[in-house]
Amino acid sequence: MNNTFATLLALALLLLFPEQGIAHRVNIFAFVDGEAVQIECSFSKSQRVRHGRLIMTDAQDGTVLEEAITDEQGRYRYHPDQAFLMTGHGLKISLNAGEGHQSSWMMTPDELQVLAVSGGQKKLASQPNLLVSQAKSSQPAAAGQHGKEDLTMEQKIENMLKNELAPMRQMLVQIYASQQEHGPDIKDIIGGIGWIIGLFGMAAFFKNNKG
Amino acid sequence: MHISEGVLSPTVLIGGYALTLAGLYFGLKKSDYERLTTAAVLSAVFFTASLIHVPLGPGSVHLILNGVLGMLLGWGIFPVLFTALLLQAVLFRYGGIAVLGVNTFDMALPALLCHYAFRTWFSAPGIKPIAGGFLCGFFSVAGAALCTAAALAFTDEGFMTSARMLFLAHVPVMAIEGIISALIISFLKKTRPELLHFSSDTSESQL
Repeated sequence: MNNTFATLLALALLLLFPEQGIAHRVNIFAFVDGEAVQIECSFSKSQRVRHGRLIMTDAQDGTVLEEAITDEQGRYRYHPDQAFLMTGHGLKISLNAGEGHQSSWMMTPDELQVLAVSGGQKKLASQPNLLVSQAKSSQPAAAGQHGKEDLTMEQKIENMLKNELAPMRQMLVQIYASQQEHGPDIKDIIGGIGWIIGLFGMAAFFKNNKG
Repeated sequence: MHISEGVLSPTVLIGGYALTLAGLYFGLKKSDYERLTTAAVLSAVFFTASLIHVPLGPGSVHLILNGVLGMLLGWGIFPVLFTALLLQAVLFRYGGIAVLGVNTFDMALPALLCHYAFRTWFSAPGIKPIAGGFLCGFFSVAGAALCTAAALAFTDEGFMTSARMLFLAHVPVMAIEGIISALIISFLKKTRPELLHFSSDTSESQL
């Protein structure tokens, strides 16, 4: 009876202490979104990594490209340098969430290529005459106007696609986060206990043989 | 308390392994075949307790129970913790293989010190065993936070920031573990008092 009371007391005390969360794993997820790399960092679905330290490095040679801090939502939008994109190297994003929690995400050159292209196009879009002179140098001046229209149309389509795809991107982020967060279930835990019993059983067996 | 891979410098990692290996050596040397079952059960308890996160307030909490392990195993905590942490690292990617030495030492050393500080209390009459159990549970977690902060001292965060963060986050855990350890002592006192008697020779503790 006394023990039951003590257990109940312990449980009641347990509920008195809200805690800021001790997570073992910190999740980082990055994807190309428009003209930047969108980075999302979380401990769990509800717990975002606020003010976590991000370090963007060249995956090949380890050059630090940028250091940043995540916002309240655990997000950061990274605009890679065109010079870096042109190297065709991968990108490594490291997150340091404090208290020994660290994680990283790799982006392949293929993923970043889109960014190089869109960035390049943007540059050209701001200088339509240059584009025209490069692409259609033999065409009459009227083609400049035509090229400009093409680009505006392209930008419109791009924006439209971006808006259409935004919810899907968000959904993918959520699916990925929930996959990463998938902690050990009861099968895993029982499996682990099985290992422990096995290992200690082996120890007992050898000790017994020795004795 | 599990430090992730890639946070610590190789010097700290090697230091952690060296200290843990020394602990493993003494832990196995001073092992007592009689306590093998207890060790296996406690290893499974530690393994399970730190995997199950109980949602609490805005976050979640999980028990560490290094105090209970230290209380009942003494030096034997090293091999027991090492086994459980190794399985957590291999099966669930909690902590990691490179940091296994540091993680084991961080949690095992304070518990071992608490064992030596309070072990005479466990077999004493009256309220002393329960008080000893509480203090053992409480200070083992506090010590683990301190040791983890010491391991993180050479990272960008430094010792003070890490220690403050770890202490604040673990204050509830310290209290809860103190209570749980006290309850376990009071239960063992009634059912298996022989587990609380430690011989005074070199093999005070036993795997």
